[in-house]
Amino acid sequence: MKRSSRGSELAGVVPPQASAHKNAAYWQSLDGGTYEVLIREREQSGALHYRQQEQFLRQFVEAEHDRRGRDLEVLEFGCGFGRHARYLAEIPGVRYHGYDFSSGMIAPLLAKPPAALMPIEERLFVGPSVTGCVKGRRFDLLFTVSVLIHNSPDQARSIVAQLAELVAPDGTLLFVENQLVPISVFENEWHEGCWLHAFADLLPDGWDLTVGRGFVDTHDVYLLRRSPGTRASLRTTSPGDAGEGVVVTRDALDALGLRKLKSWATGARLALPGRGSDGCIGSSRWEDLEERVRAQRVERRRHVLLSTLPDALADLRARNAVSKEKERKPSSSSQPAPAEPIQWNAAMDTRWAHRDSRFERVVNVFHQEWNGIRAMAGYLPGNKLAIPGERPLGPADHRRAIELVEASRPLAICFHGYSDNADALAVLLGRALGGRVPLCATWHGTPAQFHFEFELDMFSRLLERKRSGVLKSVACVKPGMSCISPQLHRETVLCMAPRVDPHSLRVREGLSGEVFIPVPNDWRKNFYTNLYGAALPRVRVVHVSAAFKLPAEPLPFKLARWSKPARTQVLSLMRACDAVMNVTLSECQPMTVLEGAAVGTPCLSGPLGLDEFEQHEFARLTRVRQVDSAAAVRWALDQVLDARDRDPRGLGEMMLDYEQLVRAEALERYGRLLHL
Amino acid sequence: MTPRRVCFVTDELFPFSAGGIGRILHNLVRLGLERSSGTEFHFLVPDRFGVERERVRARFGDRVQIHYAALRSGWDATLEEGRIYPPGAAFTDSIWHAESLDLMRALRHLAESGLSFDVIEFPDYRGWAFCTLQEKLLGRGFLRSLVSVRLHSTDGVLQRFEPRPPTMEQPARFDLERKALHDAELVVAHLESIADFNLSYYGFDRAWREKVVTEFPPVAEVTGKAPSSELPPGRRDLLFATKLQPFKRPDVFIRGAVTFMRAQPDYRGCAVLSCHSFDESYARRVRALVPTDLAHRFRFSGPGPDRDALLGGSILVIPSAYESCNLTAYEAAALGSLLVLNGECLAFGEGSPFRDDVNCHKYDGTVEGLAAALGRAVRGPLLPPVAWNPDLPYFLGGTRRGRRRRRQGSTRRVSVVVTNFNLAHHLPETLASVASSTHRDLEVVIVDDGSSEELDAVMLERLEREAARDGAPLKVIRNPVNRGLPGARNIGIRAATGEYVLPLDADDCISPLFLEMAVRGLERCPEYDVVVPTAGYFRTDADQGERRFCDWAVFLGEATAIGLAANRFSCATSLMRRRILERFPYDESLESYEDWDLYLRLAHAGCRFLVTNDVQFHYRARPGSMIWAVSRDRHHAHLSRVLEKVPPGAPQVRLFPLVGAAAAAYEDGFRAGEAAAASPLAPPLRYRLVDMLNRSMKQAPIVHPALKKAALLAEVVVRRQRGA
Repeated sequence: MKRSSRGSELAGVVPPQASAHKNAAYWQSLDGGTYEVLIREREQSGALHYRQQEQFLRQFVEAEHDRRGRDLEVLEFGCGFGRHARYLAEIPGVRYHGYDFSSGMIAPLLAKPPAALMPIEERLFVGPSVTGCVKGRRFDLLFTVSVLIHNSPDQARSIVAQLAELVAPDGTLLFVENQLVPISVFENEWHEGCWLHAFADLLPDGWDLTVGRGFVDTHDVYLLRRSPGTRASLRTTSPGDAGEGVVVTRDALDALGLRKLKSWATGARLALPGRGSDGCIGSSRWEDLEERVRAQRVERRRHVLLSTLPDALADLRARNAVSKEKERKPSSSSQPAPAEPIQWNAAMDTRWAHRDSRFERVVNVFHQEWNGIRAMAGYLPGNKLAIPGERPLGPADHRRAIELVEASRPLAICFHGYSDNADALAVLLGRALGGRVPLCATWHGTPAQFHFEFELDMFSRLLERKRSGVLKSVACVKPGMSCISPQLHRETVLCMAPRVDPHSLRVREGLSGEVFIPVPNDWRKNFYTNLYGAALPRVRVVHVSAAFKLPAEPLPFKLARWSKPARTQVLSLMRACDAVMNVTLSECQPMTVLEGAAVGTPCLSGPLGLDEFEQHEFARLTRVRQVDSAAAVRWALDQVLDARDRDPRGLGEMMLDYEQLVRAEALERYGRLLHL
Repeated sequence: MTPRRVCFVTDELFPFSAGGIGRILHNLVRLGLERSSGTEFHFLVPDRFGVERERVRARFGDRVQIHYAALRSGWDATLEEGRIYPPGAAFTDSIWHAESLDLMRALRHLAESGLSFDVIEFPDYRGWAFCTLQEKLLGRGFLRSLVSVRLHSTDGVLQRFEPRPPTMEQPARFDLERKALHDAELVVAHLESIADFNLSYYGFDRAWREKVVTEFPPVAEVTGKAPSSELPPGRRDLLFATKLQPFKRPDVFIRGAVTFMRAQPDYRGCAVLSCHSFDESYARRVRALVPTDLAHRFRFSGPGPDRDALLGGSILVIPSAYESCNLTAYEAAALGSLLVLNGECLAFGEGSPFRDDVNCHKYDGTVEGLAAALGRAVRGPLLPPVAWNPDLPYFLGGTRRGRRRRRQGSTRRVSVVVTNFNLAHHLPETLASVASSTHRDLEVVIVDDGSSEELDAVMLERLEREAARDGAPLKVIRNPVNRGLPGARNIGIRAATGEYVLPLDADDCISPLFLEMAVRGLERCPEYDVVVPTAGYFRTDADQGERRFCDWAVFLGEATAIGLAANRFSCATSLMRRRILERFPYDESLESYEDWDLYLRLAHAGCRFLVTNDVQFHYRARPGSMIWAVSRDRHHAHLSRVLEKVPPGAPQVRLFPLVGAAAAAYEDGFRAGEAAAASPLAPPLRYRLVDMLNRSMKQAPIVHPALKKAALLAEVVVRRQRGA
């Protein structure tokens, strides 16, 4: 959603652009020492707001630090002579950084930096661009105090956008600046120009705004965080409010800002002598300003209506197409019935599941369409609830799901993979069970998959739900993810193999000359490298389940194609083959490796980074380092076939050992995740 | 203090290349360096201009730099805010348009790297200033630069004085140059008479004339060269030293010389044609004019190292029909030549330093006149040399900056008039493109022209519900009967309340920036009425979303010449002032070409157009769309209706496109498409291939065979071209 009006044209009063340049020159030439004296004098003559600002900032920074439970990286934009640097740098666990574009202003701080700011070249920056100075660093908190007011609305908007780029994913922007106004106006000539900004107009796309009023007598504070949802929200808060503040509409926010605008209008003619006549400034008559605020509101409404219309029409189009489809194809018995939206302990989710009394009263929730995750969840002990990933659940579905879960008297509930449906269900279950039962989630992606907006959105949603307490823990299946956010469970969740054949059936003598490539044909899954990697003289048949175009070079083996094989088919195919090939470019924990081990067929994969298990001899035999090299894959396959040919029993023992070790550790970790 | 920076865009520069433009620029820069120590000079040249930086520096010194514009390759798109420009192949009418775009992009890149100019001067020839001027006028760049155009000679002016092959390229060049001249912020003329001539030739108004500064250029460097010869006139040869090119009139020289030699048997001198010749068949025709008995007294040669001696010791005849400033005349006068000049040629006429019988002999342009003038020259005394003083160039004086443009807030309301006939399926994307516009004061007027599809009915009901809300920026009008596109658009315009109107078909899209930019452009430039977007064609919504275009359409705005044969004014969607549309409604009697018809009428009524250089309009290439349905016969029928309204005799109405179209029609018996590829008169291969590809996509076939009558005229042209 675009919410910012462009430029200052709509701002009610056109601020003189020349002032913006004069202003920069003023601060550039000002000496920080002189300015410090000025501030101290003002304080002595009774200005309270300096002390209030410091008090507020100290409390805010400490609260942020506590909330995260780790060191807080802080950057002050426009740190000047170091009024805030001196006390913030002393707070334990806070790494303060200061930036100023004016070497004169920052000079006193550089000359006498607090001891905590050593080495200063890492902590204090001076230069024309903040982005250039901090060289790719990200901060948990970036703040300004009375800096943006000395910039024109256009400049301020671009600074805010620039600062937003420097904020860590779950970080915060904080502006202690002018009091809330509905439209930006040029306030006075102090320090060569001072503006009152309508901060809601300066917001970058995708950021939420909370306006804090009453923390400082003369200023308001503006808190910006990235929106977890698709629509940004506006909130207000004041001292003593609990939680995240009250959600307000833009109109309501503007109404709150009218008081300040009115007092500006009263003072404007006195403060800006002669401005009215030279065209630099518009009318400061209250009636005109009210009219402008009203016009801005009308325009915003018109625009909102216009921007929601295309989606509404697209929806109509989609419905129309569906009803057309129905007309054309009257439902007949030959059509497969739509899947049951709520599936409880379905056969495919329990048939291969392990049994473990500790987990009997755990509910595993997952999606019907997401095969890999469904398999993983299906092999876990406990109850199974399969929900749709795409089709939205209705109220009746929600009711049925909650009833089923409740009836199972759960000790813990774990969502495997996340979606809008899962999210809605998590919130409802949280309410229905009254917080008695811990709700957890496992995330089954890698950061590489954040390329897909859906993955990134769902991941962000999980973190948000963890932060707001809906979920008790969120763990990942991809090793090394926990460094991304402190919200994530430290331990990587381990997947376990299906419960299948007794061990005696897993050892098979002799080679069949058949290999199975179960990966779909896409870029990430690296299908063709596997295909070429299978081209060994002793491979006669390659089973594939993907559709693909044959390369010009003839393949030296026969192809057997399987279209969407069911899981039983997959397991029996694996059983019949000498090896399974799943060497992909990016992966969490491929179920094929565990499924293969469970039926006695080794499966090649890329490196998985599974802690100590990577050193297991089975892992060393089957992990391919150079995943996109057909030659490397071929070499690894050759090794595996050799091992199988030479010592089938030894290979069987090796796989059993691996699978048992992983399973034991997986159950331990799962228990810890669920707080059992 | 940063120095004043002046940039000349050129591909001629003395002493590295031939040509008068390069000579004048050289002299201007030398004069500038001498007169102003605080000025830097820059040349922007196409990279095919192979002169090394060092040689330029060695010639002019450190205050002069040369920059090379890589035409059509190697652009760093990140510097261009994601703009999408049409590729070279999209410029099917004239490659000069593509070159103009590339030069503009080169100037943008220089500005991005910190090198912006106070003055950017283009030659009028080739219309290279076109794209840079559009950028400036739309407020998208070069805001601190004065963009000027110097009147040397346009190709369009020369078209009047010599025959040209009847290709589409001729009127395209004419329009491009005319528009660049028309839009220029400042026009430099060397003589008042040249400015007046361009004014009347191109049909400009007084406002244009006020943009012209007249300054006499440094035609030759004052080196104090002594006349090389004191040879008495009676013993001198007659010399033709310009070029074997029709408008230079070597034919008049030969006929005049022959007439003079026969009338004056005591004159023993020769006639020498020492000059370049680039067209062998024309040179043959010129040589054939010499009678056999006098052949021994006519010598033809290329220019040689003895040129100075030749000029100084002869009677130099310059019979050119048109010159804006003939440097050879000044050079020869300084060397002691006796000048015989065509007094009808503007360069030697009023305002020039050439005085009949004082420092030269003038004649009236006729063969007899020339023979008589030669008689006077041979019998008369040696004349004193021509004296001149170059004026101070405008860029050294108090530069008259282009008129200060008001920057107004883009808060004026735009009414987007969306006409729909059974296209509701595409409405969500079309409306989404409008809603994502950065211009906020919008009103959408949807005119349904009697759609019969169910989906259209469903969507219109929904739209009507939304429109009924208080203050909704939406109006829905449902025609009880299909009125046709022009009728539906007129109905929408009547309902519009915005100061600006954008007609948009229900399946097309605009880019988010277009409205804001176009409104700002028209607010800045009140003399303009229309902003034309360059168009990209897309096939699927996904393609549109990712800006993958399968074809492009580029426009020239006021394309009064080529616009008679094809619509190169604008696509159907453009931003227009509503008051203009109220004065000039769409012609409801037309079944097709209503937009072409409107633009043609607007252009001939004096309305001015601005054109975006990058793609701002997204046209859905859809089998079954209206333009696909136009058969050849219907094309003729529509076009004849359209051309009926063109005012005959307007200066900007050129007959070239008609001749061109008719010639093609004559060539292939009305199967213009196939013939274009085979005809010797067709444009160069690169255009032909592209044309063939585009023809299936573009909105108008290029030929108008309804002009059968003109075929007769074409036959003449064709025969002449073949030297029959």
